[in-house]
This record gives sequence, structure tokens and C-alpha cells, in this order.
Amino acid sequence: MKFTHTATVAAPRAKVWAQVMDVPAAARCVPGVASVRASGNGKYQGTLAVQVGPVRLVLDGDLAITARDETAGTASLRAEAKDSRVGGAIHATMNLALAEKGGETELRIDSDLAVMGRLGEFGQPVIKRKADQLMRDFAECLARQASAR
Amino acid sequence: MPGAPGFRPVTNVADRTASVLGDPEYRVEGRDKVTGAARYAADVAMPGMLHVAFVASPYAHARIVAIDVSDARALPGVRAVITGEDTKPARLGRRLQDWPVLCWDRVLFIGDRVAAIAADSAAIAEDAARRVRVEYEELPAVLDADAARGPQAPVLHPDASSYRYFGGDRPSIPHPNLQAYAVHRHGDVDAGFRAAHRVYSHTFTVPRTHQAYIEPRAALVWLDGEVLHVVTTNKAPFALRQQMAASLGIAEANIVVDAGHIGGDFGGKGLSLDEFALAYLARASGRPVRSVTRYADDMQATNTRHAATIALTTAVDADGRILAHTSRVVFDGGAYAAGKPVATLLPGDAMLTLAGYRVPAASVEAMSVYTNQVPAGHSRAPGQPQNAFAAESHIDLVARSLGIDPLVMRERNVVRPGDIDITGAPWHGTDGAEVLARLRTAAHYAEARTTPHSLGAPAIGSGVALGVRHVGRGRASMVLRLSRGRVELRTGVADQGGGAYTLFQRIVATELGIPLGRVTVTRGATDAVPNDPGVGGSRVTPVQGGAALDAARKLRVRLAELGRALADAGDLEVIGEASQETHDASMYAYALRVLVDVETGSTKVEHATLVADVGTVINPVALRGQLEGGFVFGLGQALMEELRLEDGRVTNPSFADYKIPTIADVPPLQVELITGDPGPGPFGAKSVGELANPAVGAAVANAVQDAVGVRVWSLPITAEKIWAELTRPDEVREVAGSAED
Amino acid sequence: MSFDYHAPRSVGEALALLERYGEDAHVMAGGTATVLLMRQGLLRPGHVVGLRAIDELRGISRTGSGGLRIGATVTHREVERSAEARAYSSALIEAFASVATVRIRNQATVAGNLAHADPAQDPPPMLAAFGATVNVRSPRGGRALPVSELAVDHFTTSLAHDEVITEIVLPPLEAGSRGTYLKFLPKTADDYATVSVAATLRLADDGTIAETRIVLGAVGPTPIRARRVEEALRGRTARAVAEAAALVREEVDPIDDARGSVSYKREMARVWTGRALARLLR
Ligand SMILES: Cc1cc2nc3c(=O)[nH]c(=O)nc-3n(C[C@H](O)[C@H](O)[C@H](O)COP(=O)(O)OP(=O)(O)OC[C@H]3O[C@@H](n4cnc5c(N)ncnc54)[C@H](O)[C@@H]3O)c2cc1C
Repeated sequence: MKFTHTATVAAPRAKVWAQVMDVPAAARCVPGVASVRASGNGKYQGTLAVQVGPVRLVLDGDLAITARDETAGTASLRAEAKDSRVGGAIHATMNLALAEKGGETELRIDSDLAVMGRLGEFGQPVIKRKADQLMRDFAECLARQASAR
Repeated sequence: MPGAPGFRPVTNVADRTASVLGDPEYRVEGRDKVTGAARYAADVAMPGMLHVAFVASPYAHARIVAIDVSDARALPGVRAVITGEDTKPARLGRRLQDWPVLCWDRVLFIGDRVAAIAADSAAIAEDAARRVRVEYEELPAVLDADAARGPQAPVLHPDASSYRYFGGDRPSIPHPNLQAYAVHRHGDVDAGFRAAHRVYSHTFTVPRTHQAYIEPRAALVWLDGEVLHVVTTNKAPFALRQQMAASLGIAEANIVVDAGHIGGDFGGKGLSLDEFALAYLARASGRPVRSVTRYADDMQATNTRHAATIALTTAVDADGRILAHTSRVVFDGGAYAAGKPVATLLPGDAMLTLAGYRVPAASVEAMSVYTNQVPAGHSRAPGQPQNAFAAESHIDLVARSLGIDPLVMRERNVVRPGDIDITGAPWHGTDGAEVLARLRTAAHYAEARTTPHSLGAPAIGSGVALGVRHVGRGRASMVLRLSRGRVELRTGVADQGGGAYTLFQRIVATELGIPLGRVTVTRGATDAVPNDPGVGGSRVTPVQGGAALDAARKLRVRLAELGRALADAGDLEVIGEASQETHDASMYAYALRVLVDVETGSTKVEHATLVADVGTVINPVALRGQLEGGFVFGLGQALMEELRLEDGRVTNPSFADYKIPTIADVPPLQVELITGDPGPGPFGAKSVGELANPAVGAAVANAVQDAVGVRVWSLPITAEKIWAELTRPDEVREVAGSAED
Repeated sequence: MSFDYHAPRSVGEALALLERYGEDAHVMAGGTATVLLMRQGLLRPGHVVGLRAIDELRGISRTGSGGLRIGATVTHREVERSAEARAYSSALIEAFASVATVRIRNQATVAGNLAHADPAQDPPPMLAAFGATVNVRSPRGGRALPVSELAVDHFTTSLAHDEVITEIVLPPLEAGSRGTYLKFLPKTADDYATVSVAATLRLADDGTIAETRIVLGAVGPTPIRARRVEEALRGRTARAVAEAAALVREEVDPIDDARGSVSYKREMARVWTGRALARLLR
């Protein structure tokens, strides 16, 4: 499932870039992220807790920056997480693009998400809606944080 | 069952007279089914039995980099863990064995299996499955049949030439991503097009659907010395024995396949999957192992009906008479061709793109394509629901364009014995004119077409469609034993609900002139009865029924030779055999009336008339059941059924979201039987199991157009599709609706 | 799947169990939703607290003021066949009778339905349109909240893990108030709604619309109250319906799924809102 989210940040691009590339800090913008720590080589480990009604998921996984180009203001991330209780996994790729527009920065996130295994049986359309919400919250939170600092 | 001999009596009927053929039948296994005594594969348990779970690919296409099963193996209660390394290069399949028992290098669809676990309980096995760590390298997935045929497409089966193909040489294919390819030509197509008054081209699409049987697939496998025992939901046990022998390298004599009652099949249960991996697990664990497929997995990872794109072009004269026809059918075969049993590796009736009509010249091209989607296999009248939807929509569109009444159009073109049909051969079957004449009267066609409807009420429309299905072919044999005045028929047929045992009982009793109660039918596993081709291809009545009749006749002849009556002839045994190779076909036709809610597009079939040429009736209740059930099956595919896929994943893998009709959705159905034209089956019987479902979709589409003037080009004919056409700006609609040359 | 099943005889006992086992416990009434989730492996409680042996959660009765009280474990079928419920409003019967099949309705309970919070369910919009409240108890005490505040997202309610719905209370209907429930089922009779509309309406003495309440199901993460449509109709007549109903398109927030695309559902929300109102104004 593919999503595109944009947010406008009241801060210059360089500042937003620094903010976004601070992965542990940026990850805290994802609702439900418990801990994120660097595991070396541009990789991070973390946990994401998601609850849909009575179904509680704890997704353990890795996040890696697979490409970054500060000049162009683009970066790609790949996240893979697994819930071993329910049986299922989430894979996501995110392409970030930052564009400066008169002192503000437009943040655009194109993401492609797959929800696999039992997890996916909960209902792909609902999951899609949840994921959409999650990414929107993430983008908005990033924008808020970067504007604030 | 363990220890027990292979025979299970399936008849327990009180004495009834043998003057049976006209009387409604009493289902011999009915009592067991309604009391719950009937045993299905998932009911069978053995002491010490282990439960199985599989690890399946979450990717549509990926390379397996590494598999780590140590955590799974370490879990208490886990008795065996196997991966593709243990099973390679074993592959399974009905005709072409292209589906790995477990994948070892690449996975080709979401649900493709990479490991299997046997454990003390299903919960432990599942838990262990979650602990298997598989590292994949994702590869570009080929998700549609057009992309798969492109020059850049990754070749999904680079080793195809090494795959086992049963029975001769595999037909050649012009592109490596094709499972099958076939062309047919007859007559002077070019001349037909040159002489045409008009030429029409239309393209239709049909989605993947599931067979929607109630009983889950299940298998129980154990080793007894060298002998591998298999309890299965497969409806063709002898064929499964052959497939397992070939793919596992075990002599057929060392495999016993036992299929009991089957809780619905609709074509899907000819392909077995779990049985193969279970054989390895049984060996690895030394224990009986059982698996029962979860329905969500069944919908994601077994063998669905092929999605297809059907492009038809037909040349007609000014009266609408067909002069020539060309067609191209592209079936999305999914990741494996293993589910298809026929030699062409196409869905059975892939080439019949204008069935039931006189077609003096035709050029037909059909192919089945490898993609990274759910594999496709057989489903009730394989190939027909796709082709009948296209053909019968197409004919209607041509009629409308020429200003000819759709039924008149069909009357002008329908095949009569001796006419050249779409196969290029003289038609040998139902007189189509008779079917349509019956339809015209039974459905009160003239009145139905002139009934006005009131303002504000739903729009009313009527639609017709016809269909054709062959009478089943093949060979079968069974044993008939006489002992103390009673006869026992021993068969290998695993009844999937069609009523086979009742049929055999009635045939034998009728032929011998004895009461039904003196005829017992027993089913045996593959070690206890002669070879049987299994249920499928509309075969049971004409072929296996023929064998039952032959057995009864042979017994009668023996009795005559001995000059004895049945009651005092002592013990006798004969083997009945049948070989039904004639190319007979039956025809059926529908007239439906629909109501369309013009604001929502919601469509209800309000009434249906079905005329079917069935030959002699042996099981009147079951025959009706097959026709009515076929109609409901077709209605589901017409109005609602569709496996929705996103990136190779089924997004509606449950009956909460994959809807099939319930009885509340079924309109009054008037069934008119044509019985006067005997078929090749016992006493003149034909086949009905796949006779009624394929044409329903087109009949609905045609009725919808009649009601509201819009055409739906794909199945299912959902409210939203109709609504979208109805609300589309007129200019745009004109263009889409006149897809003619 | 292994768990301990508890069958407390009183709400107090049930609450004690929930307190004792905390997150490892799960309340179950009819089980039609819970058991499916457990079988899918999505829900794996160690302790299941069954409510069906608790007498105080049963029964349907009229309240002194002319309202209706429905016990938490009353089944859908019981509501459907209840003379008290029918006397309250036949629309209530329509909503409960629209649920699934008689097999499900014989098993599924009213509180289970509300707590399951699938936005495509039938009773919640109707109960919300009637202004029903639920009474809830937890080890910390009791509270009442409107049905409309119960669901907060797909399958998610505002209830705490240890809160149990004890009863549903419908306030007395104002004189002249009427209700209706329409469920759009374009595929099969046994399905969740593509869109559903629960509406109540009361005419003023001059024949204009004094008040209407419209709640839609299946077109948002929770039942959706069509406030703009309601506003647009206040003081108006049947002639205003078409225009007012069109406003619902922007009030709903559907998802694209097997039952239809977002745009189709928005349009169907409009059509069915119009039909519900037309029915009430007939
Ligand atoms: C095949 C099928 C078809 C369906 N079709 C429809 C339909 O067309 N329309 C429709 O509206 N619904 C439909 N449903 C959903 C059905 O309405 C719900 O499953 C049912 O109402 C849940 O009630 P229950 O008593 O079985 O709840 P349970 O399964 O026992 O519980 C459901 C949830 O509610 C919680 N719960 C139960 N009781 C209480 C309580 N007293 N206090 C707090 N929490 C509680 C449980 O913890 C659980 O989380 C369908 C369900 C099925 C299985």
C-alpha cells in the first residue's frame, strides 16, 4: 500500500534535514514508538506498539537509511518489523524529500508499506487507514518539531 | 483409517423398489451427513498424531538467502522441522509438476511455502513456525499477465524444461513465462471478415474467484513400514497417488490414498499440496502427521479460478449471422500451473470462445501466463465462466447494435447437430434450436420484454444467455460382488457431494431389477479398488456410472450363463468397466429478469428460467440440486465474488469480505428439463454438474443493459460498476459502449 | 489456543477477575467477535471472563419514564422479538434484525456489539440516534456515557480494559418522534452494510422538521453523526431533503474496500440519507 504525505515546516531546509536525519529523535514522532537506538552502519533498532481495538501488537524491528543525499534533500529509509506473538511483519520503504520554499520547507514522504502474515488478516483496508494515519501523524509531528526548534 | 480395512459402507437404506428412475432418490449417505456420523478428512485422528504448520513467503517474489530453524526446533513439543533443503528438488502438480513441495531457492507468490513443522499440538506448530527466521532478498514481482509476457519480464521458471509432465511431451510455448499456449484455426477466416456486414470487437475481464467449498482442505499421512498412507480431501485419489509416487520417488504400490466424504470441491480439490510435505514430516518424525488448512490460507495460497482477459472479434452479415470469429484469451495462471490437469495446461475449455454457435471460420488463441500471483487451477467448468461471460455478452452487444432481439440473434446462430461450431468440428449434441424454443415459451419471453415499469421504481430488464458443456469423458472400473442374494459395488469414487453412491445404487438396482436395499455401495482406498479417474470434468454419471452399469450387465450375463437367479447364484464377482470417449455436449440457456436500483446500481435477479438438456434423469433430486446449485454458484460470480488482490496479496481472505450468495439472495428459479435426447451415459444420461453456472454472468450483464442501458464489461457486476456507468457523462459512455470497429 | 474460562455469577465477581488478571484477561459475552479474533491468533488472552451467567446483565424492560433498558447480555434476537423494544420503536427492531443471520443474532449480545466497535455494525448508529447511554462499571466504580462517545476508532472504544458495560438505556422518545433504519446491502443479504442510516425525526406543529438526528454506519472509523444535514433540515420541510442530504457526502469518511470505493460510499451515503428522511416524512 502506497501513501504520500506532505507537511510544511516553518524552518529552513538544512535545519529540517538535521532534524529528520536524527533518526532516534525523528522516530519518536511515530506514535507508539517505544525505543530506538543506533545499531551501527546507519541502522537502528526499535519497537513500535500498535493497538487496534483488542489487538495489541508489539513490532520489533530495524530501520536503515538506505540512501541520503543532503544536496538534493532526499533520503530513503527501510523499516522491517515483526510481531512474533501474533505472527506477522511490516515492511516499509520511505522516500523523503525536502524542498525549500521561501524560508519554509516542504516535507514529502512517499511510503510503501506491506503488512504480512496473520497481521494482514485483520483487514487490509482498516490497516491501510491506520497506516495512513500513522504516517500523517509522523509527518505532522516532524514538521512541528522542526518548526519549534 | 488406521488398522481398519479400506472399505466403508456408504449405503444404509431400507428396502425400496427398484422402479426407481422416475422417483426422487433417497441419498444413501444423507443420514450419516445429517447425523454427523460422516467422516471427513479433518475428523480422522490417530494416536500419537502430530500437527503441522507451514512457514510461508510474505513476498510475491523473492530469493531465499537463509533459513534459520534453530529456534523452532528448540521449542518443546516440536518433533520435526523441514525446509526446501530437505525436499528439493521435489515438485508437485497434477499434470505439470512445477510447484516446489517446499521452496529452496526462490518463492514465487505470497503463501509459497519454505518450511514445515510437525509438533505435538497445532498451537506449538504455529508457534514454532513464527520462530523460523527466513532472510529473503526481494525480487521484482510480475503481477499481471501482460507484464509477464514483456521482453523485460523476469523469467519465473528458468528450469521449466526439467519439470515432470505426465503423459508425453509438454506442448511448446512461445514465451518462457507462459504455462500454456494454444491456437486453433478452421475455415476461411479472412473471407468471413471480407464478406462481413459489420465486425465487432469487445474485450471482457473476469477476476480470480475461489471455489468456496465449506470443508477445509485436510490431510493425514503416516508410514506403515514402507507403505505411505494418505487420508485426504483430494477428489481424485488415484491421480494423487500417481503424483505423489512421481514426486516423492515412491512406488505407487507403496502409497495408499484414502479420500472419504468431501465437503465440497467445485474443482479446487483436485490439487493437493500439504500431502507432499506431510510425507517428509511423517518420515522425519516417525509419527502420523495431520494438517488442516486455515481458510484464509486456502484463499491466499491454493488454486483459484483463473482471472482472464478475453478479446473477441466477430464478423456478421446483415441478419446477424456469424461469418467468422477471432479471439484471444489470456489467463493469469499465477505462480504455478500445477493445478491444471489437462494436457494443454490450459483451463479445460479455454478455446471455446463462442460456444453454442455456428462458427464457419475461427481463429482462436489462448494462453495461460506465469505471474507472481496466487496460482490458478480448476474451478467448476474451467475456462467457461470466463469465456461464456465474454461470448454471451458479445453476442448481445452485436444483436443490440444491429437492432436484432437478443434471443432472435441466438436463434439465428445457435448450433444444431452437424453444424460446424467453435471447435471446427461438426456439433454433436443438443439441438440448440430446441433449447431456445423451450426458453422462449417457458420464460414468456415476448411478454417479459414488453412489460413496462412504473416511474420511480427500479428499472426492470431481461437478459438471456446460453452455455455449452461437454458430457464427461474417461475410463473407470469398479467391482460388483454378489453374495447371498445381495450385491455390493466397490468403487474408488470419493463423493464430493454430487450423489455418486446413490447414482450407482440406482443404476445397479435398475439394471438388475432388484430393490435398492439389496445393493450396497462401498468406497475403497486405492489399495482396495480398481483404478478410478476421480471426480471431475462432469465425469461421474457418464463414466463411473457407466462402469456401474457395465458391472450390473456383466453380472446379469453371468447369471444367465449359469442359469441361476440372483438369490441362489452363490458368490460371484465381476468387474465393470466403462470408457466414454464420445464428444457429446449439452446445452442450457437462461432468461433472467433483474431489477436495477438506478440511484445505487444495486441489482437483484428477480426471476430466472433455466432450460437444460440433461438426457435421462437418474437422480432427480441431485440433478435439480446440481442445476440449482450451479445457478447460485454462477449468481455469486455474476454479482459479488472476487478475490481482491493488492501487490499479490488477497485483501479479502475470509467469507466476511469474500461474499457468496446466501439462500436469501436466490430468486425463484424455474427449471425446464429436456430429457428426450439420450446422452452417452447410463440409460441415456448426460452430465449436469458443470452445466448451469458459466452463463449466469452474461445473462445478468445483458439484463442490466436491457434495464438501464449500460454495459458492464467485467465480473462481478457490482452495484458500483453499474452506478459508475450510469453516472458517467454521456459522451464518455457512448465511446466506451460502442467498442465496435 | 489455551486459556482459562471464568463464568462469574455477578458483575462484582467479574470485575474482581478483571482486576486480578489485568491485561491477560478478556471479557466475553456472546463470543461471536472474540472467538474469531482468538482463532485468528490476533487475540490471545490467558483468561476469558464470560458474562453470560450473570443474571443482573439480562432482561429488557421499559423504564419508569417511558425509556427502554436493555441488559448487556441481551442477544440481538431477544431485542428483535421483544414486545417492549417494539413498543419503544420499530426502528430499533429494524436495526437489530439487520444484523447478520439469525444464528449470529441468537448468540451476539447488545453490549458485545457496542464494545466490538466495528463501524459497519448496525445497532450502534440506531442506538446513537435514539440518544442511548451505556452504564459501565469497573473496579473503580460506575459511570454512564452516551453511546455516541463509546466508539473512538475502528474496533476501539473509550472503555478501559477493566470496564464492563452493564446496561444500555434509551431515553423516552419525545412525542411524535419517529425512527428508521436502512441498511444498504448491494451484494448479499448476509453482509455488513456498504452504508447504513439510522435516523429519528420529529415534526413541529406547523409541519416543519423540529428535530432530526442522523447517524451513519460503515462510512467512517466510528458511526458518523450527520450534523450538517440535521442543521440544514431544522425548520424545513420535505422539499429541503435532497439538498440537505447532499451535505452528508462531506461529513462521512469512508475507506476503500471490498464494499466500495470512497467516492461510491460518499454518494451512497447521500442517497440513503435521502431515503431514510423520505421514509420518515412519508
Ligand atoms: C458472521 C458474522 C456476521 C456479522 N454481521 C454483522 C452485521 O451484519 N451487522 C452487525 O452489526 N454486526 C455483525 N456482526 C458482528 C456482531 O454484531 C458482533 O460480533 C457481536 O455483536 C458481538 O457480540 P458478542 O456478544 O458476541 O461479543 P463478544 O465477541 O463476546 O465480545 C465482543 C467484544 O466486546 C467486549 N464485550 C462484550 N461484552 C462486553 C461488556 N458487557 N462490557 C464491555 N465489553 C464487552 C469483548 O471483550 C470483546 O472485545 C457479525 C459477526 C459475525 C461473526
